[in-house]
Amino acid sequence: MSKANTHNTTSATPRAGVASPRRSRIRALPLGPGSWVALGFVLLCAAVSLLLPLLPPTDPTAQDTSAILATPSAEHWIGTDQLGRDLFSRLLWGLRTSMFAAFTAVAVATAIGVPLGLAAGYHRGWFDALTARTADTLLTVPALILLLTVQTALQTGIQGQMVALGVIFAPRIYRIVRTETIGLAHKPFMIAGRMSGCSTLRIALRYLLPGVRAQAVVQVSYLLGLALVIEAGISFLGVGVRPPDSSLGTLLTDAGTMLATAPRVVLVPAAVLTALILSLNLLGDTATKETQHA
Amino acid sequence: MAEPLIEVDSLHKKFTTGSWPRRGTPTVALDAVSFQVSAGESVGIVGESGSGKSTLANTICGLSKPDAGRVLVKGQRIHAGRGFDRNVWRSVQMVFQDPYTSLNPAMTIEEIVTEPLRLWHRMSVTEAQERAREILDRVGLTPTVGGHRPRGLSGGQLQRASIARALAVSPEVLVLDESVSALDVSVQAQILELLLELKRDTGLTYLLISHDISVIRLVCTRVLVMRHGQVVEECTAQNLTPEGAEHEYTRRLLSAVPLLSTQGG
Repeated sequence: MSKANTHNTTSATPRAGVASPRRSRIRALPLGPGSWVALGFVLLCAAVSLLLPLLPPTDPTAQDTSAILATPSAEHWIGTDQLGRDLFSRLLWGLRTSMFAAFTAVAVATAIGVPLGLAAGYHRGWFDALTARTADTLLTVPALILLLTVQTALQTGIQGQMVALGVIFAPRIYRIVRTETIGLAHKPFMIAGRMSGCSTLRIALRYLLPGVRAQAVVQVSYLLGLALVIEAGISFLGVGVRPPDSSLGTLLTDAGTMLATAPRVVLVPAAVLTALILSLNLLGDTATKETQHA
Repeated sequence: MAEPLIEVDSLHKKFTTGSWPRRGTPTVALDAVSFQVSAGESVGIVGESGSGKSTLANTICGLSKPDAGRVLVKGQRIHAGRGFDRNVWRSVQMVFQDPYTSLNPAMTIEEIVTEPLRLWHRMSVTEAQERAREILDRVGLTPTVGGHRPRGLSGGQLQRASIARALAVSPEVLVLDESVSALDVSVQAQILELLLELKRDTGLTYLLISHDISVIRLVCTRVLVMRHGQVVEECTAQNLTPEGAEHEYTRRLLSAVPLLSTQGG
């Protein structure tokens, strides 16, 4: 997101000097206050997920039988669940699992979708026809059914399921990248680049990629949100992340029965999940608007 | 006369719109076009839209494949089999019509000019940067402009940068496809002045395509008049007057130009 926007905005106002410092580019991001909050929240979640093993040890599976469904205290910041496990640690570890899962899916989708989209849009012909039809076919696969099948047939666990999800997400990235590439491929600067001696690979990396990046980033942020929802969905159904591991989805399952007695056990993970998805979609919307201005 | 730099030999090209079963009638873009360009010459190609000027330019640069006929650059045939010889770009470079879309928006002007030096001439980074600054200076762009991306620069600056990019390859021939048409008149004059300077200083050969006869007359020594894909007249730039023209079409084309400086004498 940041990369896409810096590219668009700094080039709009040329300044003296050659390499513009990265910091001023970030400051030049045209984000409203809401987008800043969203970006901050997503980055915070990402940082927590990455750094969690380094943080003070918080065992998400340790049971404290003397404190079942305890209310928030200095020891248990948001209380404990029905098995006396610290809800805050479970939330953080669950967030980590969910974030990693979503990231895996989107990384796989990007790794497949971007190169194929660039190649199809640039070369067209039979390769384009083949990949485009394959993409159309993949888009008809319902995510939940596929993931249930993958788990039942292959017993891959959440990582394998997210790779499978990445494969059916790939067409969404592919289509965006391909469409943008088709638009760029006939611009005179592509011919100028080839005449400057660029190989096809160099054209793809330095001429096409910067042009499709903004749109691809928009799609990535939506897909991250969608992957989070799907992971929560399959974990809720009991075929994603398995207990005692936690993810945002399993937290909702575990606590489903607690809604009446201790609603915070459900509401806190639900709120975090909702906020994260909202933030990602908001960032996607902001990026869309930016690319339309550009 | 020495071996011509560019030899165009009975080029034919048709474009067909639509695909089976609803094929349109083919448009003839090039119909037996033959001519030669010697080193140091400036050849202008005039003609109304659709007369095949741009197709001719693209074919000479290897961007379009002729249906029949051949193009030789320095005696080498550029289209061979299905593809064409990329090395033709060492000798022939092109400057496009629209300066706003002819430069990569993701790169700075200096990077754009450095690229051919690195890729064609295998220069080191520092060497290429130094040479790029010289070239930018030659086309009248300051290092400050060189540090900018194309966005936000004026049409004139961008067209100078496009010329700089083409020059960085050190070609013998520069093909200018309507390269000043998109610029306003005063900027046009500056770019034409630059082209004349470059020609004087470096002996560059031009193939200049334009629908603007006054532009052609200012820069070119020899003129080809094209119509419906054929070269209907070939004459010197001095003879490009309603009186000097031999072909009826050329005379009509010339009399359609309202601001003919030599009109009446």
